[in-house]
Amino acid sequence: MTPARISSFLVKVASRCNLDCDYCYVYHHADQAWRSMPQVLTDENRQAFARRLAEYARSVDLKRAAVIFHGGEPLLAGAASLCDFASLIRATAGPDIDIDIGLQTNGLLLDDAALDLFEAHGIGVSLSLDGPRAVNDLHRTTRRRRSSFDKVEAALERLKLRPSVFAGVIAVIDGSTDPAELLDYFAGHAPPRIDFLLPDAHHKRPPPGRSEDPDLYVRWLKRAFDTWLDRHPSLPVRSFEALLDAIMGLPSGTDAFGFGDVSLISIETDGTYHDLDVLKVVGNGTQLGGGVLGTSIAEAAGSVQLEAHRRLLAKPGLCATCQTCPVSDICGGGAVPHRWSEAGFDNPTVYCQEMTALIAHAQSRLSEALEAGPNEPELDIDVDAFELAETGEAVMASLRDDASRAHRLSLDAALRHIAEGGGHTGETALRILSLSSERLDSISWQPGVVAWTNVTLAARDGRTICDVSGRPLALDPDYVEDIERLCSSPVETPVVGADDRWLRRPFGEAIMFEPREIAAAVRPLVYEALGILATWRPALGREIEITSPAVQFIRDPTAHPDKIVSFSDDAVPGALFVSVRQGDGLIDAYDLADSLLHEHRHQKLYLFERRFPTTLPGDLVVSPWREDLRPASGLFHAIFVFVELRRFWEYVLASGPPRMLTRARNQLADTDRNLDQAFATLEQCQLTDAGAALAALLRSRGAVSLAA
Amino acid sequence: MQTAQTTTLRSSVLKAKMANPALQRLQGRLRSDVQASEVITSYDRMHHRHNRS
Repeated sequence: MTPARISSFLVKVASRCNLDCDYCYVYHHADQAWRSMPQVLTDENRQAFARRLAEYARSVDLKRAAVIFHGGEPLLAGAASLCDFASLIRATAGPDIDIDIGLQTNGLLLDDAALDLFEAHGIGVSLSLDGPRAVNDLHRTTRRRRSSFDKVEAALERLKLRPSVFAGVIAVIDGSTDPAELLDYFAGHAPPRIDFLLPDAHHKRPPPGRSEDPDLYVRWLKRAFDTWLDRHPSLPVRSFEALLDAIMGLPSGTDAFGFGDVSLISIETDGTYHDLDVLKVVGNGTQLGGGVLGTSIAEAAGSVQLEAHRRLLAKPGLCATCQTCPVSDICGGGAVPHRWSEAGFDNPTVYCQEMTALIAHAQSRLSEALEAGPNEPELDIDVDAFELAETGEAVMASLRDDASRAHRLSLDAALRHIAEGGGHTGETALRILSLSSERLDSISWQPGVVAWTNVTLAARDGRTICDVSGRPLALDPDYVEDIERLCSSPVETPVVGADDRWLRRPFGEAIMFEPREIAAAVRPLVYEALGILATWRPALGREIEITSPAVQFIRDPTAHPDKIVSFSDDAVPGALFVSVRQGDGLIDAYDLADSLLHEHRHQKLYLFERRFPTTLPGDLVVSPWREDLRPASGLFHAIFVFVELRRFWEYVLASGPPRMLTRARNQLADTDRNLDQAFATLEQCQLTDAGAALAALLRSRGAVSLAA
Repeated sequence: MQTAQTTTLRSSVLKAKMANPALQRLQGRLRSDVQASEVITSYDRMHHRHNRS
């Protein structure tokens, strides 16, 4: 067996704790080795660990590693001291390895001064908190059984203001609590991630409360899963996402589900190497032999103890019962400590009935969702009000808020990724992350920032995103400088012809952008076109300014020079791409108004579709506006656009300049004919309930004039 | 190793149009697993149009 490849290092920086949680595996289970451990990891052991890690990374060509400061309570070692240790680890390892450093804390000592230091040193913080006061105080108390809740929730509030360091929350399940109440509580705080852990137990120490109530945890887990899926699906609950991943045959990323390999070792405060920390629940036997002062990490990774552990993480290492069980590929035999009995680990997990029931339940819920077709959200907005700018302000604000929250979470994650890379751009990313939440909200919504964020997160996850030409879009860390400049002054809208490379990169060589001097020259034409729309309907003018704040000038080299070209796409939401030249001159302001309104309506419908998909997958259909066949969603978009444009050209016919009257008549005749055909085709398409409601409304309003 | 049930589920999830954010994230992870690369957008999806008037 080749040695395990270790990429995570759980370093005990303090062996004591300022809480006395009654379920803690360190102090209240079989292994009592903490009693003889030094209170903190010494400087000598810190330096030795840093050297051992650097040596190991070189020897196995490790490019990324995670170091988790743990305890006891790691903050008892002091925040400044932990930052010095982090700097020592990174400096010793050198630039060729990316080291993600975090800590797991109970939060009691997590004040703003500590968080300032962690932000400055790129140290992530995960908080242990079991839920609202009544739940948390069941177990997470001081030695005198006093509540820790106020201090821990205050730490949670502080962490929420520090997205660059807030890694997530870990909660231990108490089967007597209401899972729905727990999910509601955590969803209200919206941590970046939450893990629910089953109480540490094994066959000699069964799960608390289960002997009196055998279905206690089965009920709890199913109800928690349903509450998450039905009520709080935006909350990233790692335990349930890992379960779904394992069901799909994906690596679960946790040791709770699926098979895998040992990739983590612990280092105690005396510098000795140990296996998975939580194996302490079964006894004093986690030592791997040696410690950082005299033994290499590679030797620990190749130890017989770790080999034995690794065998338990593969199917041949499971007990006979699990070997023949139909769900063992999903549960992976369960967490190793949970399998233990006096005879060893050759047993199903003590949570076997819970794992089996939860897996069956999740599979059933997944199948239901697939059989039901799109899991349609309840149409909880007024579609009538939404469609018109004059009545849709509140609905549009709500839809923009939805999108904004998603963009903000993504931007924070993308900036954290750049910050982890260190250097000048990493420092810039950290500065941006320290800005006020309001400022970050407004920046995360900028179209170029959204496109950059998506590509950055894809790169982080090992995916490649290509531009329209099919060329991979490279990670662009330097763009954080542009983002910081955007942050330094309020964004004035509309942003016309901005020199923003991430408004352009997604389109590769398929589209040419007008040079800077043209963009400057046609700016007045854009204001004139927007003015035409705002004069006609002031509310529409406001809606465009807020929803579609960026205008870019393009040319399509494949189009006839007399054609007016425009497009938009949800890869760069809020950006309108329009051509402004026709032959040797500029297009008419009314034609530009038509283009801007056209693309804005696409953007408006994209916002709606983020929350309420309108069509179901089906065959391609004929669109009267296009020569190629289109998906039903494309036809739906066209109808949504041209119903509004019909109103615009009626207005032009009634109130526009004489030069535009023939154009308006032709446009109306074309649009009426095309809309008739398009509505007839749409009737053959499968729509969601929301799509059907909006389509019916558009049909009823198709010929209603807003010319006055 | 994938069972027949897993293979069927994977295929269904990949094809489905999911509105639930948790299932959308699952679909995203699954797509990442089966696709070496993806295109940020496509010319077809861009609602690109030539004004014919």
